[in-house]
Amino acid sequence: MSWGVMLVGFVNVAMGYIFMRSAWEKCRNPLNFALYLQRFLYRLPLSGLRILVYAIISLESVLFLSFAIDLWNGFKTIAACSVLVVFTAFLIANRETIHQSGCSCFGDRSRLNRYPIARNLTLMGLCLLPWAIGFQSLDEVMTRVQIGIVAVLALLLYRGYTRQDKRMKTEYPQASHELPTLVLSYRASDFEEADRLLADTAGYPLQVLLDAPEWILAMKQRKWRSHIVVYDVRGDRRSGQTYLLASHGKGKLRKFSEWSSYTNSYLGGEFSGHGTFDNSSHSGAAYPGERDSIRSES
Amino acid sequence: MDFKTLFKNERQAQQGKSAALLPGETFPMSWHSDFYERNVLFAGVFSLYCSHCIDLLPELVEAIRNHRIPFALITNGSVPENMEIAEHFKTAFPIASIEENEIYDLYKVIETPYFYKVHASGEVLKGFKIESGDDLASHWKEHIRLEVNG
Repeated sequence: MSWGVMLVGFVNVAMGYIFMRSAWEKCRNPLNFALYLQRFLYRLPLSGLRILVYAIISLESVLFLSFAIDLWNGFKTIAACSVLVVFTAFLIANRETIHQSGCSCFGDRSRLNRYPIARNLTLMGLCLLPWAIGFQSLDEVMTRVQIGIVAVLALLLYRGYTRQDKRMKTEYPQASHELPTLVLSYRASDFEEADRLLADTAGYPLQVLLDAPEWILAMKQRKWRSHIVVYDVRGDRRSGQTYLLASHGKGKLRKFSEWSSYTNSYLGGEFSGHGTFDNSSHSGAAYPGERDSIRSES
Repeated sequence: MDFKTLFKNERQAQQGKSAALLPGETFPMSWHSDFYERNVLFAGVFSLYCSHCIDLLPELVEAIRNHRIPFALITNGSVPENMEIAEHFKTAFPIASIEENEIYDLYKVIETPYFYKVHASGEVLKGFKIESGDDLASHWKEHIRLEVNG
């Protein structure tokens, strides 16, 4: 087996994994990515952006498959580089916004999102390596080995997502499954933005899990009186980044990094039919399996 | 255009702003003479969106109470919010409400919390930052020492 063949195999596995993960992350929460795109393509309605998201997912899925099973040598390289060039141009054109907020190509997993331009340029370089050695295609045995490796990676990814979903069920109060829940810390850089959004009297209540000292919590319970504000007992264990939890589609709890866009749309009634909640019996959030140590305004 | 320019940090742009009111300048706010002690008062400029301010406030209040420091708090909170602060901490010092933009426009504070030592005449004596309530107590004790020594 020549080093060239191994290189091609490595590039196929790496690129296949990257596109698989990117497509899968968007698939798990397409609305979040649509809300992310809305920052830049604000003239398009959300319904149009959702179509765009599914088109991107489809494109990434095709690229994943073509790298994973070593199809269309040459063509897949051109296609992948073209896609990366378009995405990179988009990132450069919107660098101010992206620098402040990061990109959302890989969902809310921040490591791959951190330096998106450098990441894409690296991927382009990786993709072009087989060109440099003259398109060495793989024999049947190597192709099977490659498919096996990608299958194992897919299984590991699936296991990771399943664990994440299980953890979400127990990590947050039961009410999070019924009402969009904003997870917020007074230490967050966007605390001010959240304060302004929540201060407006709204017809659609949110649950707010607030990590803050008692006096700030009491102050915000009064100020954000349209919403259910409870103390986040696990606040000190979280990253400090603001996000929103909501059940959509298949009823699974999903994390929205685009919490501001979601909240704006939700408070504007765009997701009407969601968020009906009997506030009369609510006395505070109860975490599954934990004593209720939440303070709430009675 | 190089990559550094592509990702120029907003903070770098902020560093171009001039910081703090200078000694001798007139402080934008004044209080009744009863709030001054030994002809001075310490004014703290706080933001209720600033975690350092929120973390510092409880121990600051304790230090002010223990050492009887003449103090006034200026925040970007609304009047009802400031009243809640006063009620929660049982403060005896005045708490004033200002607009968000006034933190820099009037008080020249880039990063909260920030403190000014203000003479009863309204003149700024100095501006400084602190990390704890004890730091403010040290400034107060230093003032007393300077006064005693003439």
